[in-house]
Amino acid sequence: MLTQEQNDRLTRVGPGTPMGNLMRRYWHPVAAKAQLDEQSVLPVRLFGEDLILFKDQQGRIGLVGDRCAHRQVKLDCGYTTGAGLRCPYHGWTYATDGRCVEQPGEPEGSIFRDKVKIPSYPVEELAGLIFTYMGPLPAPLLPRWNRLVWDNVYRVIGFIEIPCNWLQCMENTPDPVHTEYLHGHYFEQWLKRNGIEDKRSLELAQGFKTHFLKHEYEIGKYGIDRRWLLEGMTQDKDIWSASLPLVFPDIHCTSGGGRHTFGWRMPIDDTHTMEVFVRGFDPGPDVKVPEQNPVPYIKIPMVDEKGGFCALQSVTGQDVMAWVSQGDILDRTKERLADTDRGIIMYRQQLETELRKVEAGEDPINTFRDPAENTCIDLPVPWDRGYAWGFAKDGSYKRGSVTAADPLPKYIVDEVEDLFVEAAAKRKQPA
Amino acid sequence: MITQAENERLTRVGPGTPGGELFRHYWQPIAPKQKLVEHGILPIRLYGEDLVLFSDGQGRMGLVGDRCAHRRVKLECGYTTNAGIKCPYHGWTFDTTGQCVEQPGEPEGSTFKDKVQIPSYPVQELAGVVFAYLGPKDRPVPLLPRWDRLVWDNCYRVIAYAIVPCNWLQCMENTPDQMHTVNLHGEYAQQWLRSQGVPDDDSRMALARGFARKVIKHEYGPHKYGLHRAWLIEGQTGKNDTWDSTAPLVFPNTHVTSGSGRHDFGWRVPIDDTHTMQFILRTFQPGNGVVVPPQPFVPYYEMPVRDEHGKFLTLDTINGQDFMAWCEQGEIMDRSKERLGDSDRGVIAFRQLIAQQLDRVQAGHEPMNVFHDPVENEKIELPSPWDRGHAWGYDKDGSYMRGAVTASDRLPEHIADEIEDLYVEAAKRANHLVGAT
Repeated sequence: MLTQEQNDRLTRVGPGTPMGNLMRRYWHPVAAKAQLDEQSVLPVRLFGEDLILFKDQQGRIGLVGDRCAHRQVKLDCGYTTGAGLRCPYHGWTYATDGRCVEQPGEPEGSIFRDKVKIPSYPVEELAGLIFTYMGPLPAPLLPRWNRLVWDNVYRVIGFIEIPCNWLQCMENTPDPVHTEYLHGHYFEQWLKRNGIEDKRSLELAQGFKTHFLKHEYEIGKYGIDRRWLLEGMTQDKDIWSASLPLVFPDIHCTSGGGRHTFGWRMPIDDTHTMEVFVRGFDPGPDVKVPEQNPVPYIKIPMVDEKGGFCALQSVTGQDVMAWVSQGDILDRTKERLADTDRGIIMYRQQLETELRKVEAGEDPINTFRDPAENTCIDLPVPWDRGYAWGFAKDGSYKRGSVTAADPLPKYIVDEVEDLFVEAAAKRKQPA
Repeated sequence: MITQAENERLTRVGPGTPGGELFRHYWQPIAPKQKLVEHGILPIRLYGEDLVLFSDGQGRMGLVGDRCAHRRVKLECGYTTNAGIKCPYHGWTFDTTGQCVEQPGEPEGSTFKDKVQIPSYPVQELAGVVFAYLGPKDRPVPLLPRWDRLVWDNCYRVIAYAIVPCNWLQCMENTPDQMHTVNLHGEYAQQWLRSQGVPDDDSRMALARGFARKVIKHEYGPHKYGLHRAWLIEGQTGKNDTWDSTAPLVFPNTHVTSGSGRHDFGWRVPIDDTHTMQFILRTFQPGNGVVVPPQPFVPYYEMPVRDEHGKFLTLDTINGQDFMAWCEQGEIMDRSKERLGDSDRGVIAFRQLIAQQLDRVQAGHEPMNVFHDPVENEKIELPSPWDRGHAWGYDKDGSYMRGAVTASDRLPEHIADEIEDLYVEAAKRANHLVGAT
């Protein structure tokens, strides 16, 4: 339970707020590269700020303020040229660094444009995503987390817009016990209640129902290290020994059965969150994964216009139901925390610690400035989550398992499943 | 015309308001039982308070706060077990009293659950309707009133409800205002039906012509259960009709009509300050010795009000015409700007009655219509006039025009058919009993 003041401090991210300042110290993904290939001007909202991401005719990418300096027309109504982003009203044009480079209606020889600039933020590309950094300069390095730089992985980028505050989404992560109930018991009865007999979904739900024997948390190198032991797991080869961190401040990663999710719960503003994830399907070294250019992306609607939850057959859709139903901003003055919430309490304490560092003018955790340290940041990779998806005891693979929890387009499902079928077939061949 | 302060006092129903305190002395309908059976869990909002109604695996009904005590997840997203309602997130389970009875993620032997409760309120079922009482825990719960229309046997019941996006009081002020029926349900209805190309021999048109008949006089006064209402329509004799035996406005928010063996008993339930649930138990009593087959459950249907563009969807029904008038008065009608006339004597009397009952509650007394004596509550009789001045569907020769008694209800077809069959049979029998009721 928190006071209203503590709750505001942890949840609000607008310009000038303590959490807004902390969040702005980190690179965040604002779009998939593939989106810019389809549409060269994209409106973006991050930490309560409205911005425009664009790619000019020379292929340069910029992220700038959303309005023309001249008459405040929204630049997402404009278009790109070789010089930059052009306002539709009077043709003022901005380069990727926000400098005004054209004012075609001004008298010849005018130097007024040199005095005009709109806000801009640096951008970089990695793993098919465009990242930005909105904090004080010099910007730290864009962290090269292992799941973003591995090769021979089939990647899919996903976007889920969630109509509630980011923190309640993120508190899901240091709370693995919820999976037994929400993705296990609840999911199973939801399938029954709706008469859905999909075998893979049912197996998934039954797998999640596996009971937690213990779960522990500690402050780790990159965030909160989480360890748990499920009934039937062995202590030496799974998440109990390998752990799986919450990567500070807002990154969630899961691994199991060759499926790796690395995702941000990125604050759009105080009451909207964008879950952006890179899902890496890793069939193993025996199979050659074809080159992806660009990395495909999907937008997954999980809440319909009437506020109904329309993706309850997916694990994330179940999470979204829980988070959204906690309210716009969860009222933590009324919650009743219990023993299962030890991880959440530790996470809130860590947020407070890092808030204070920023207030003291220091770099918070996960600020990387040394390129040698940043070639590939290793996060642990447990193989087995206690219910290794789809692999039978004889090593054979049940088609459809690794994508069972994902609402993906059919062509992607087929491509991914082919890789896992091939991998299983190779494993069965005598060495 | 009343002041803004008076208007606030009469209309607002949130926790802690005078109106909210008054309503929390009464049982109010919250859902058709059959709807609960079909869904297991229903979100409920009453007097601005969000709640969840559920029926557990053992069939026990509970009405509890809408959020899990743990991480505030909405319980309407959960499911029910034999033990109660289970939160989807971590499986915390609450029984019908709001007591937390399961916290499956907590260490074995933990007694934390015993310390955790969420709000809960008593519920009861009568006539296929689930009622709730939201009074404070330290007050003795009164009896659920057994008004005669809720306990009659040998009748066919249907529940109709609508969510009306305006304050409850303007809906309720419709009741002590007989004159609106002549214009809204008579003149206006006829012109509207005509504008839609509805022919003169349509049963809805016949109903509208009936309503358009002149009201010779109308009077209002105190009544044991609320506000006495009486009116005499041209052609009526003043015997066994709306002049000598019409039903009162039953305090605080019940509207009662009867005529030709069709009885509406309806509440204007305050959802919050700007939303009202019109909840009507329609009771069809064909009479004349017709045996109504027992109903396995009381069916229900929702009456639509407006579409997403604001267009009214049921202007061919009496209820739909009322919905239009109420919504168009504004979210909370601004009574500081109204101009009341002679025809509004009943509206004024009703406001005085509310003010008087609010005073009683603020002085620490119980308001009227709170029953504690089971003998008195066996069956609370209200008058039932046969004739409302436009005896639905009965021709002068006593024959019945099929479709008349359900003309205004937009019932699901199979229900309307079953009801009409009963009235056709009753009329056949009545041909041997002309003049009798």
